[in-house]
Amino acid sequence: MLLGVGTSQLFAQSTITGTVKDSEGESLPGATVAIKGTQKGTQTDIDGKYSIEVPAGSKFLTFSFVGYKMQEIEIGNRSTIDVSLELEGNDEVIVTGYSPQLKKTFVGAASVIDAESMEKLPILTINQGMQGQAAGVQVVSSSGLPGGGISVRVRGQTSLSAGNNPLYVIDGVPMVNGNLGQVGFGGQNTSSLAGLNPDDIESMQVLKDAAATAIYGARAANGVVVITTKRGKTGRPTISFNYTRSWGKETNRITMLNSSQYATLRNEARRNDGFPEIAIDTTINTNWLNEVFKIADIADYQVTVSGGEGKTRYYASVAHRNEQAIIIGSQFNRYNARVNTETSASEGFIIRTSMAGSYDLNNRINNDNNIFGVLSTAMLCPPNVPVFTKDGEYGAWQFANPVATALEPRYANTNLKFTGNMNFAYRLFKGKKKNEDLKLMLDLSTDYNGYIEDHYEPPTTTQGIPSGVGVYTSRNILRYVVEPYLIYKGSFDEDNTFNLVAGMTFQKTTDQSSFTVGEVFPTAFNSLTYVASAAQVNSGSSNIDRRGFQSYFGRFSYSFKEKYNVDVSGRADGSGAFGPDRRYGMFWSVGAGWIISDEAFFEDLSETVNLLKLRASYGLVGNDQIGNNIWQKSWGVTDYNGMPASNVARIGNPALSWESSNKFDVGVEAAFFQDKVSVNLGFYNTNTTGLLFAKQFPSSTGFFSQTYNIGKSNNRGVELEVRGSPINRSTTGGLKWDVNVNLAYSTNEVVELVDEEPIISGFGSAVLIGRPFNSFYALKSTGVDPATGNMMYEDVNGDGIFNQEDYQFLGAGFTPFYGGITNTLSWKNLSLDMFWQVNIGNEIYNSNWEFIQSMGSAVWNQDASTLNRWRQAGDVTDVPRAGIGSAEAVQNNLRSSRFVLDGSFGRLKNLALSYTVPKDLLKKAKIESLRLTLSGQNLWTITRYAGFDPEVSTFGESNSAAGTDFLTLPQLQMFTAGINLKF
Amino acid sequence: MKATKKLRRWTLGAVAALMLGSCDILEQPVVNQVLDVEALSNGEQAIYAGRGLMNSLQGGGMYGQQYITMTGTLSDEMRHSGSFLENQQFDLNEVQANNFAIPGIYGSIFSVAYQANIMLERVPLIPADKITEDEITLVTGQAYFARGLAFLQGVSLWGDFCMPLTSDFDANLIITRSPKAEVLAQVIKDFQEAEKRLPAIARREDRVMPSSTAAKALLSRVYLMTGQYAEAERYATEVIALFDPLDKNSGGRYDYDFESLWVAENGTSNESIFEIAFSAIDGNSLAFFMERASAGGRYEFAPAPEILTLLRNKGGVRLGSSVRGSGTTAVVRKYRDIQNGADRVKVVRLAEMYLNRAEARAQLANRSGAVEDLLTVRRRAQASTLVSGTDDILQLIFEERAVEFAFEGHRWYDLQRSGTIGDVMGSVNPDTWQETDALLPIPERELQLNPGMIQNPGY
Repeated sequence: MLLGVGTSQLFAQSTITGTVKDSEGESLPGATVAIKGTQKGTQTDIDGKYSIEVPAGSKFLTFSFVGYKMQEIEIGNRSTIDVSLELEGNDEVIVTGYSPQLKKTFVGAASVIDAESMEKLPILTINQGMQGQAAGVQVVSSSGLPGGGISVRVRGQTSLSAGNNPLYVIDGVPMVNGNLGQVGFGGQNTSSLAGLNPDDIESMQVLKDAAATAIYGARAANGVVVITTKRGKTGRPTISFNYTRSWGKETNRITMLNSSQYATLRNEARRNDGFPEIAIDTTINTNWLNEVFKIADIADYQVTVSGGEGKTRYYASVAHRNEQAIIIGSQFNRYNARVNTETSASEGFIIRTSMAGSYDLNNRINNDNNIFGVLSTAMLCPPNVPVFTKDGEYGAWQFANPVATALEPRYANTNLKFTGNMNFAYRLFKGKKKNEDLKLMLDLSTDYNGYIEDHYEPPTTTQGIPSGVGVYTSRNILRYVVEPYLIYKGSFDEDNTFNLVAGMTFQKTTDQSSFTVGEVFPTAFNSLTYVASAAQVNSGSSNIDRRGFQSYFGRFSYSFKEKYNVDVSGRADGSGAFGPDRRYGMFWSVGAGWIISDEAFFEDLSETVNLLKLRASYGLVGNDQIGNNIWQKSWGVTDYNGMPASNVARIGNPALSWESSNKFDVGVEAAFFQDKVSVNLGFYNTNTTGLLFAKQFPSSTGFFSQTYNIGKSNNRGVELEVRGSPINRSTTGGLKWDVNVNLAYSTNEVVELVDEEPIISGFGSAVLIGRPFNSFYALKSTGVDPATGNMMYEDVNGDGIFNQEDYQFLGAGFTPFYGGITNTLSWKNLSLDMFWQVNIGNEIYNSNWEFIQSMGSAVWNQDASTLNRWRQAGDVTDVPRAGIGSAEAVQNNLRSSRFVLDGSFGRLKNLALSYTVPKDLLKKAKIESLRLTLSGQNLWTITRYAGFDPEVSTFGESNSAAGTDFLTLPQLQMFTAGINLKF
Repeated sequence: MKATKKLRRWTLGAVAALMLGSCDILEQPVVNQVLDVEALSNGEQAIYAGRGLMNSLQGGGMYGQQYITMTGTLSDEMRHSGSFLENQQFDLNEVQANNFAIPGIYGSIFSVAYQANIMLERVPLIPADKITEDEITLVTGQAYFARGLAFLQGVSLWGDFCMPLTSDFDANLIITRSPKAEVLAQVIKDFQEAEKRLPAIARREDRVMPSSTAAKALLSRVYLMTGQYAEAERYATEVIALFDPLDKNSGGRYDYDFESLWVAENGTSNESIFEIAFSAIDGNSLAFFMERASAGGRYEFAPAPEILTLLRNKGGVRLGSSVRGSGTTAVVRKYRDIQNGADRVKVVRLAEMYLNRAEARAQLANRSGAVEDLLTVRRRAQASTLVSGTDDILQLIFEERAVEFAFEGHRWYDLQRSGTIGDVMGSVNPDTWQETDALLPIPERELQLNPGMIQNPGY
């Protein structure tokens, strides 16, 4: 060492050598090592080593590489300088509209979802991965059927008639979201996001308040989910292979009556209402739920290649998922491919491309809000009907045979999806001061969905009698977006820095749809089931819907010493969906943040509290998720007797405009003991006005309704996110315990509509002023009269009649308190993950009981709760007496609180044990890493709900009848084994 | 270096161009609707609108389903054998003001009236170079006819009925119920206007559009309701004169064969005077709701035991054409096209002219004339022509109507007109029938949205 120093002094030049590595100890070839202030530099070799001649007097060396944070190292007296470069890590940056912002100076409210922990769950879709991971984000899977609709609510439901889902932006592409299918399928929806592979996700953030979302303007009222996918790291290519296999069954199964219980009940019902008993055959005893439920089998394969050399890095993945559902006849297959690249085309010019394609095939069954569905007929079908008769025919009853309903039809839905983005970032000039530059950005994005429904119902099904029905629909939705914008990072001096973003959006969405129906199929040939073979093709249609969107946006962020931060953003959005006078909406936000812990007076506390930040914001965002052209007074044309016939369609409203949300947010962020524990506590209040609402007219006007902006709603709440590592001895080979808690408590209120009258919806639901959306509104039942066995209700107006006049608020499909708690314990090569989800305070309208506890039908089977029915005077129970058709029996089954149940639940959503095989064992096989995982999903549910599963919402996308359970498939309880291999 | 500068310039230029020349992306062509101001600007468009009125009558809340099934289950003609709660209420005559089906049935009437009013206001104003006089006459005739028919249904089901006669939105927001007699007087005026303007039936196909023949036929029906029996007889006679006598062979084909009224593929029967067209591509759900599940239907409505007995005893050939099977598995057979739903729904046909005239004559104390008409209908049906001198002729006529027009949406109105509704329904639904059930409730939403509206008694 002494020799080295002497050498440099003598010859006015020295050689410095070293190795550049990344934060995981891998060497970085091709990294640039330069002498600061000069043009002299060199690059590291394949082993990350460098050697550079440095003139005397040189002070700093800079080390840089694409995708990593540049470092300046003081040379001092050293001749060997080893450097470890850090990735431009995502936990330091929040990806907000159009430009990333440092988490520290960010003044908005955003939740970061840990993509790595998402990777450990065998989820099908990206929105499932958000469940219980972010405070204020509630994700409800409508049913257990694969590929189905999932409702996501960020800080509550704001709208009655417009969409309530957030905007999803994936690699800069604003995604087409929603139901793609054209065939009504009960309550089941499809989701255009089901085609995306969750394992490709690098980072996922939910932007919640106005400061974070106003730059998305009219699409931001329900929050924005910003997702970026993996880019790959420079270095030797890494190949990884991932395989998971899950087996599952339904989380819970209710019990139906068996043949003899059924026969007893039917005759008791007849006796009670004065009918003679009949002979009921009980020789056959079919447990229909057994016949339709099965073990689900899910296999997920993924291969990824990522790496990079010089100026380019890449990530490519191919994946396949095959999901056999818990019910016969249903399965889901998905194939994904993705290629992402990032290239430094020249100095200051970076081009990123993200291309992903997927093909999914969903073999569906009729179910969920469909009385002819598989689960529905399995519940209602009497137990004394055989699955197959002695002749091999399907056992028949009033509706269709449940097994036939599952296996006979073809409901094959396929979606071909392509999402692509090219992002050009071109530095127009670089300022002299540090971090000052002006970049020109251009985003070219596209989202394409090609959805086909290929259905055939043979004559062995109810719908296919007598000679089959085939339906084929096709839908192509193409969206393209062109977004040029400028990002200017500047500073007045060292302490005063600012950031300016300004740009435009041009977006067009074209939705082409068509369908054909064929009937009278040649049933003598089993294989001819497509419309090409139908003898009669009598119905078909085609349509094209185009929607344009054009905006101007900007943001100005200012920071003083990174301690005081102010952010102002605004956007003008124009949409063709609104009347010519109201085409453009203005949206804006103002936010401020104060890093208290950077203040001088705080220095003494900084050992304990290393970060204390206060933030607040206020702004106006909008909701444009409504149909096209509904402001026009228009006529439509159909046919009569084979000739064109025109009819008045809509009275129109030329003043139709946006729904507006005023959002106020205030929060405190703190970190303790050098980031050992971090806390984010926030409060928000959102007032939404101008709710798009179908104003009802008396029929005498010739119209039922027209959409106006006439409502108000409010969402208010408190969110808490706590992350920490209470125990961290990992550096010494000991235990590490990470905790991640997020909780939210909120209220939701329909503040004002046109008038005070409740709007009845769904089965027992209604929209009530002063209550949450999705309230339950029916009679209040006061129990079963022990003397007569009849149901008693509260007669609110005392008129002796039980009808809508006596309906009361009985609860709501709204969850005030929800959240998730994740505990991760790691010790050496083992790690244990435990993820609990809680949902407290909501009710569920168990519409199933209206059918399987009502005992009012002459035929339908009932569930085991009817074994507790009232039988004789003096019985005290909550199930009324059996009846059939009498006025009393009808009155015993009126819509009432009997069907409104507590839907709160706590659920162990994931319990996973992973073992990472020690590296030295793998070196011989040239394997870089091998991880084995055993896990279970939805293992344990704590709930009082008496239906199948408390996580249910038959009318998943409904804005007024969510939280209803009607013949809907429960969620899956799974056991999963997985292996992850990296070369 | 130079390349970068060039690239820089190009990019800046491209961006500037983009920002200045923003394509008009917000105006996108609409392909599935037309603006109101453009919808009635020439003769051909007016003709479309006239057909549009018929298209509305095809709706499920009108002749497409409810006028048949609701009136059937309300009366003693059909029973509810399915699962929809609203139909159960009809069957038990326990209709609630919040019944799910009622608002659609009630509102459909006003859709027809609104379009008719717009047409009556605007079609005559279309410039002469865009429309001919004949077209104006035809289209306004269709508008009067449709409005008359819609209000006729309204007043028959609800009694006093709102009667918007203009398209003035604000006035119609607060319009209240007009007395039944006024509505019937307006219906008569509308049909008389229609009769003046519409052509008589000339070809088979004319039966699916309004005609002066149909206007006359419906006038004979309305006059029975208002008790103007001489007028009823006169109009029925006028219509009968336009048809070949019922029992004469015409060209070797027996056009008034009862069965051929119900065979969808044959098109219309010459006995039909006005019917609502349906086809394979524009069908209804009647057959679907009537047929048994084993044959692919939903079996929501089935023949009631009373009508089955009547058809068996007095139906003649009408038994086989009207029902299939017996007892609790009997099926309505007048709507058979389960495949396509192309069964056309008969609004008025020749047999009704004979029975209307019979009823009018009976009320005018012309017993022999009444019997003659009654027997004409029976003879066609090959039913017994025995009528004894002591029989109550009106009772026989109403019984004949029940058999002849079973499941065609007549029975409920016939019961009201005959004055026997209390006795008949009282014995069908002894537990639940009340006198006030003869009229439907005004939908709850109407009372809430228009405070001036008054509900029917008993609801």
